[in-house]
Amino acid sequence: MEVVRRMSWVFLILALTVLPAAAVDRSKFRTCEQGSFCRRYKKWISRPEREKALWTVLPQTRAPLPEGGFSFQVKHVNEETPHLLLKLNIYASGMVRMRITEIKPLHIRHEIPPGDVVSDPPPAAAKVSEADESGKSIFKFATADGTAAEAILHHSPLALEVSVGGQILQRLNARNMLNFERYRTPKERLPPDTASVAAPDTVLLDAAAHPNGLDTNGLWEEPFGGHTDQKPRGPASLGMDVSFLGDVPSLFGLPEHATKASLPFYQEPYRFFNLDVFEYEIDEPMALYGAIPIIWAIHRLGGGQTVSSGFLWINPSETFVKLERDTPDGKGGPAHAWWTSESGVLDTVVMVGPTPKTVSAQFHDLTGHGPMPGLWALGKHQCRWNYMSEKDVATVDSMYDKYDIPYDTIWLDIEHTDGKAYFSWNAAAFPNPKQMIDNISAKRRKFVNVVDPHIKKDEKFHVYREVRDKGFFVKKVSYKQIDDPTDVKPADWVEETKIPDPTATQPPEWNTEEDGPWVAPQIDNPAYKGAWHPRKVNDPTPDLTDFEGWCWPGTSLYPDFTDPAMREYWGSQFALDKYTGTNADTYIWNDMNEPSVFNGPEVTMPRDAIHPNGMVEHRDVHNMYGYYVHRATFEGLQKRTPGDRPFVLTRSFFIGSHKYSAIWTGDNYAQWSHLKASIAMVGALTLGGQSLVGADVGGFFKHPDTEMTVRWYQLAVLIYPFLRNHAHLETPRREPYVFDEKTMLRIKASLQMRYKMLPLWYTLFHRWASAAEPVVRPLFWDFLDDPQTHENEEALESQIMLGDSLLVHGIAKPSSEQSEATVYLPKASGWYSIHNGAFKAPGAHVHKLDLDSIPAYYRAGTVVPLKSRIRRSSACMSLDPFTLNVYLNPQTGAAKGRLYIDDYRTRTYQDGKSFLDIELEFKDGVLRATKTGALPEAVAVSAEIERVEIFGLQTALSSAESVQNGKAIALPRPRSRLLDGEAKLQAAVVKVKPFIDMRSEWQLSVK
Amino acid sequence: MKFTLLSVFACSPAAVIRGVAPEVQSKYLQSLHCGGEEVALSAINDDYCDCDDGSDEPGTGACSGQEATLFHCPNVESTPQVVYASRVGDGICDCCDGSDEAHLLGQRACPNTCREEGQRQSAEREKKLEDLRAGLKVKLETISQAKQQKQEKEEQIQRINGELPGLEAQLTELLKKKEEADAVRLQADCKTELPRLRQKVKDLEEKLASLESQLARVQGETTSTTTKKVVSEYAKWMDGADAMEDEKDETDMEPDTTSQDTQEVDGGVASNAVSSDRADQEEDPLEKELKEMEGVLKSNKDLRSRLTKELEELREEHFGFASLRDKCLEFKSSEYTYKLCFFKDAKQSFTRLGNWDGFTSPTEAVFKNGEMCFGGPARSLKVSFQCGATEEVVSLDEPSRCNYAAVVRHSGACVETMMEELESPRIRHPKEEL
Repeated sequence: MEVVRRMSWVFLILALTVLPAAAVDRSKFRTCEQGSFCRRYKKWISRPEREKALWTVLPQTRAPLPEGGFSFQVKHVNEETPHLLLKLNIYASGMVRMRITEIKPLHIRHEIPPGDVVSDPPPAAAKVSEADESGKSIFKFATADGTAAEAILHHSPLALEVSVGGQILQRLNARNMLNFERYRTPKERLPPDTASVAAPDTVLLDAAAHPNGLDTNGLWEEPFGGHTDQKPRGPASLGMDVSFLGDVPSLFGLPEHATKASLPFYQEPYRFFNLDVFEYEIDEPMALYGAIPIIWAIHRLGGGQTVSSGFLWINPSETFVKLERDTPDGKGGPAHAWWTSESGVLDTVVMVGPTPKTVSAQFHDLTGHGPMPGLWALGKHQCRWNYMSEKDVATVDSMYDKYDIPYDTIWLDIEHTDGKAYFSWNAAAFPNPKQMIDNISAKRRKFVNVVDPHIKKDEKFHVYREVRDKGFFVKKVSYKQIDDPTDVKPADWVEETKIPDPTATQPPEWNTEEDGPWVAPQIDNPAYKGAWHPRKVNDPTPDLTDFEGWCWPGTSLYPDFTDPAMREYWGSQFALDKYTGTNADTYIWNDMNEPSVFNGPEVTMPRDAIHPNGMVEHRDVHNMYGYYVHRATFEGLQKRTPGDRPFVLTRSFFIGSHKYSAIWTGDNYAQWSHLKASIAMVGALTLGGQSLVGADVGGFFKHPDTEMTVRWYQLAVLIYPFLRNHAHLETPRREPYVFDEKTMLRIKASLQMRYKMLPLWYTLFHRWASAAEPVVRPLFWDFLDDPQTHENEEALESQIMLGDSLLVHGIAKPSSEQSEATVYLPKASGWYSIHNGAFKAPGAHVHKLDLDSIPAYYRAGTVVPLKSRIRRSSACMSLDPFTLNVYLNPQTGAAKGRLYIDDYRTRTYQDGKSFLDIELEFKDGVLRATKTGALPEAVAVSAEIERVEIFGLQTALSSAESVQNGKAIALPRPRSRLLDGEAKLQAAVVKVKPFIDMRSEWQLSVK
Repeated sequence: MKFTLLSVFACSPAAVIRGVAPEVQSKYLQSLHCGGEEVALSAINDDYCDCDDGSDEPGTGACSGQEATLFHCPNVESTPQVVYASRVGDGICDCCDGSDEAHLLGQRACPNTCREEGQRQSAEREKKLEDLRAGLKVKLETISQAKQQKQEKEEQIQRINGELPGLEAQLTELLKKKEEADAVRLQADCKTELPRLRQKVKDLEEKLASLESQLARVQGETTSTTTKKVVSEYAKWMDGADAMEDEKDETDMEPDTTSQDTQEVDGGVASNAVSSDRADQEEDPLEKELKEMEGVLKSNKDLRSRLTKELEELREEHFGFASLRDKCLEFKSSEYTYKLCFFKDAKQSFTRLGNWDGFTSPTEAVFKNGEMCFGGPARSLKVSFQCGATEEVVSLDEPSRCNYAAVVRHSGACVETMMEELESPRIRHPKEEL
């Protein structure tokens, strides 16, 4: 007995010591090679004589599309008739969209309903001149900004070339990797109507039917990780390549991956399959929670010209994309990508640029513009898994106030619920939730509750009962195997088991009269191959029952959010009379919406689950599940509080999520590598249209030490549009006030800087919502002509821009390992330190580090709107006047900037006038404003200026004067000081007393 | 009184600097300096922040974000307080007199709630005073008892310390007597036993030789075939486990290995002697006396170390908590029953949250090294004591996993100086809130 006990202890100790240091469990998640369609696509594109034409565009079939654009039929060389339809659209902003689908598929090929990703078909290009030359159709058009562009559709093999200003930027199907697997009847090798059916084994058709090392595993069912994916509809994948031409130093985008900003050319393709990945790792092409399959390319063309273009792959099924180079060193020259998706239709959009700004504009023209977030959403969010009680919430709130640290929103994670039945409260810990939230509202702060999409299976839970009774849950398919009715016994099927022995002859001694007629002995019929059985197939009308999986509550069910009726129902649950305990300051967090299914394949829903809406297989819509969840929530909140700007945070997302939701980069780790990777991840997401984005400050798993915490805040306040501190249940508390005083003061200083800069953030969000400019963006977006921003490792991976005015360099190592940083300041007229105004010329600078700040520089020539008064929440700042910091171009003494003001919280601004959008220009000692819009008098917000700080003056100032409504007022004498830096520049503070009211006409001049 | 105060304000406008406590007003009558520069009187409270420390704007929110200069709310009929400048003019009524939001007019103006607040506060103070008085009374008693106990314990220790040398001498004497008696008996035993033992040794040696030769033969045959193949990690581990088991067995025997032979011999032969020894002991008065003496010594020493520990555990500054000795307080949550046994351990139902680790401050203590959380830290419980006449657990939470925090009401946390504060409340400061 003693021995046994001792052994078990030994075992336990062994088990504990071999516990891996935090790492993702790779065995849980499929690679390209482990998934049948990606594996067979790789074989398909490595076939011999790949360049030979297979699919041909039939120019004579060209027809106009009702929404503008053209369609062509496409015929495979080995098919009798054309089976594919190619649609080509040219949009006014400068986009070429190419779609390919099946003309008459056996099953409906899933297409994203119009409006769900591509909001409305964007306006077609005004003047498209078409011409058919031999072997190609040419479409000439001009982008919104007047640049001449061309789309050339090559007929055979099918390929599309897009050029701008005479230079080809992208070529689709350049390497003839197109694959399009048409639906076929069960277990058939070929789809209907294929030529050379006489030799089905040798016909070269698609990745699921060809003679070159065809891999037929997984066509009709596919096991992985203890689950078997039933595929009664068979193979239906599609794929194509795209080449980015010119000298392409870097590709960007492909969110969401925990990778670098300048996308590495990994051996393994990048994967898009929204998953709940536990403890994800950095520098990986593995799939994460969301998918925006967009590539941004930089093309260095002849003549020193550099342009930018974008490529979007719109497909919600599992998708892989592989980046490739011609050169073995993987540098320079053109870059290629191949794409393959499991099902659906091929839908690609080329955004022709030619500048990053126009690529962004084109992307949003296609997918829609994001709404203005409420100002509070840009403030500090305090979250934790979990604040455990009403008292806990009240304590966190008052501790922030005790130390006068600003914050806007407190969050509750899953533990607040009654047994993880969302929309409910744990009554023991939260007996009076309404009072608790009202108390937060009284401080002019907001509240966010988590509401996950999995529904607890519990008769007592009304949402469960109602969704079940409405039949809205995703279904599980229980297939019965039946005889294939189409499989008939061949006429020549040998049924005789015995035949007379043909070798036997009547023995000579045989006496027929005596022995009767001679009969040859029976032998086994060698032609007999067994009894005929019809082929077994899955019954096409299987039993459908509600799919049940495991999640936080235990047994859970998953609503079909692709169904507008389900979304309507879901949205209605947020009504204040339905969702008890909440008030109009309560907003929603949708987590686990990949969806996460703990016991499902790859921790998600089986692909063969059925969405009752259209009887679509889950595989067809997987990457959009999360999108439909957060969209339903957004629309519900919109109805709950008419006029208010909803706020939803989602973990899973798709192209177009920016119209509804903030996202965060999921369950990151308290590690320096995760801190650093967040720069690239945020940058990639904003390039994908998702500007309201951030990573959990401090990392979700494990506990950051004080230095990491400080560095994380210093970076986050400057580059995370969505600024949330969150932590795992098992970590110690990490609210700013729990640290030692020095650390607390550093965090507080960072947060104060964030609040001071809120007018800049808010103005940038207006630029995003109205002009499609990403709020935060990689350096190339603003400095495309500076080659360092395409290739300088530090500039690419450690630095990022906030708007066009602030460059931020993240510090991602402890001071014991890094005492200085090399900051690359791109080509501009100069840069001013955000901390002391020191002037720096462009180029690389070594920056000595201390713990009080990280390097950050305002670009010379910008006017930055700020508020110097730091309140406890952003709402408390609405009546405070502005400070304008003018960072002069030292050569010209000029600067430009913007300031956007509205009521900060309602949708009134959408009327196109109830705001102030002010362009600011400082020139020749005078600061002037040009404004559009008009703030209604009733909107009680300040549009006043209390202070103007001017950096980069050649001499000290002696006087200042304001002119308001034609009346000149002498201002107090400005105070000047000498700035650090070799340029010996001055800075001056102008006290604007009395305040300037920007609602009226004004200017300010200095001497 | 109120009237006079107002009229003073009215007569000397320079003294009415908004947001400044009456006793500090004079500071603003002379010229104000900040950042090495003089600030003009016109810049005081002009809603523009000239000084980094906010000293030119004591009465506006212009310098919000710093905390060197705070806004003073008179809160007539309640307690005056200072608030951060960030609270001034932020649309939230922080002071009961609404002076922090004086710009809000009409319907949006802050109602003056000072009378109610004052009444509520004085009622609360009364209650607290009552508790404090009662608590202090209990605490005094506890302390005097603790002092008495301390004295008793020290006396006891002293007594033990005094008696021990004598007792030890007696023990030495007894041991010596016993040794002599044993020697005499052993001599007698040897005479009879020695020949028999010699014969036994011889027999055993012969047996050993024959066994060894057998073993050598067997090993010769098997070594070639017994080389085990490691088939799996599990098998490898099992081998390791076997090895460890052997090792353990060896260690078990270790103390006796040197006398293994004799032990074998004893096993067969000397058992009679041993049992007869035992029988003898029963009657041997010397042995009995020795045992008793050892017992007395041990209990004295145990008592001394227990008393010393108790004295160390509860220092004079924590005598107010002496009543917690040998006491457990219970707390029932919806899921668990917590049991806090001071100076011993704390439990959550059957899970040990920690062993008593002592006081960490005049009113805080900690239980540490409780049961390990899976993959996490060992559980621990922090206790904060709150002044009160009764002894009870007010709350018990788990702010982060496996780190528990309890608030316990106890008279030990009552301090005389609280009286002063409650009787004549000072200006409230934002950092004191909570």
